[in-house]
Amino acid sequence: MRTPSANYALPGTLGAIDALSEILSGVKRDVARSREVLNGAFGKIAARFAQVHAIAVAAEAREQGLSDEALRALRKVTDGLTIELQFEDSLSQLLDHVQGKVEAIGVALSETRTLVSAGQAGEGEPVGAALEVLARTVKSIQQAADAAVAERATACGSVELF
Amino acid sequence: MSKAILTVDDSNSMRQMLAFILKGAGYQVVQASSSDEALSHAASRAFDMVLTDQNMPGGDGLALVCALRALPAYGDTPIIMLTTESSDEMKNKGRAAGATGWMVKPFDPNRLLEVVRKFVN
Repeated sequence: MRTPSANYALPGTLGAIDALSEILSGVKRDVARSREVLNGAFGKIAARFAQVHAIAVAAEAREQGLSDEALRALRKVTDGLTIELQFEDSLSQLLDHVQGKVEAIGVALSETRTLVSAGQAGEGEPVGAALEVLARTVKSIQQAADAAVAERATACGSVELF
Repeated sequence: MSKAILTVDDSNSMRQMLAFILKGAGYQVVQASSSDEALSHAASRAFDMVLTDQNMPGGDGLALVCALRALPAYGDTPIIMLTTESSDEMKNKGRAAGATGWMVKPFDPNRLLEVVRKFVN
């Protein structure tokens, strides 16, 4: 006769969950570090951009002795940079999505661990409940991912006035 | 006196980009990083226009539009949503909430200024 724990209390089950949790913690740290690097890099680039933008504004006000051609070229550069520098916002949102997924998986692992532990102690039959937790997590992450894709799918810069 | 624009976005980079463009064009800019901060600014003074993000922690842009429209001073103030959200469903919600327009990020600075001038000048 099988004991209730025989289904799931395979040697190392809890160890595997703990190892996955460790890996997940590492991913969380990587995301946090990526955010720091992004913020630092953007801060420096934005400071440079501010200088160039100030020159362009001053030139347009005729405070700088630039020709019209040079002025147009400078304006083109600053306009392009204004669009391109918005990458930080998109990347930051992507990091938010990654962080959200990692946190959801972390919660699911923690819940699964609790269920497996209880099962090993002979309390209840946790396999179904654990699978339910994992299925719920997968569904929620997929829905969030679909929403994120939809947000980025449309062409940039469209304007609609009501 | 230059026209005053309130920009609302939780992203520091977006706030900076908006400030560069709008200040460069001669507008006075007040920045808010959340819906609550925006409402606090809006209660303390009048703005000629509001540009707001949609997805922000603590309160989204649509809720902000509703809250602003409930203030007597903001019944007719142009409020433009500036967001990565681009679905028709969200735009319809924006229209229903009382937004004046919907602009998808990343935005083109010249197009943004065209919109601002259309409503503010």
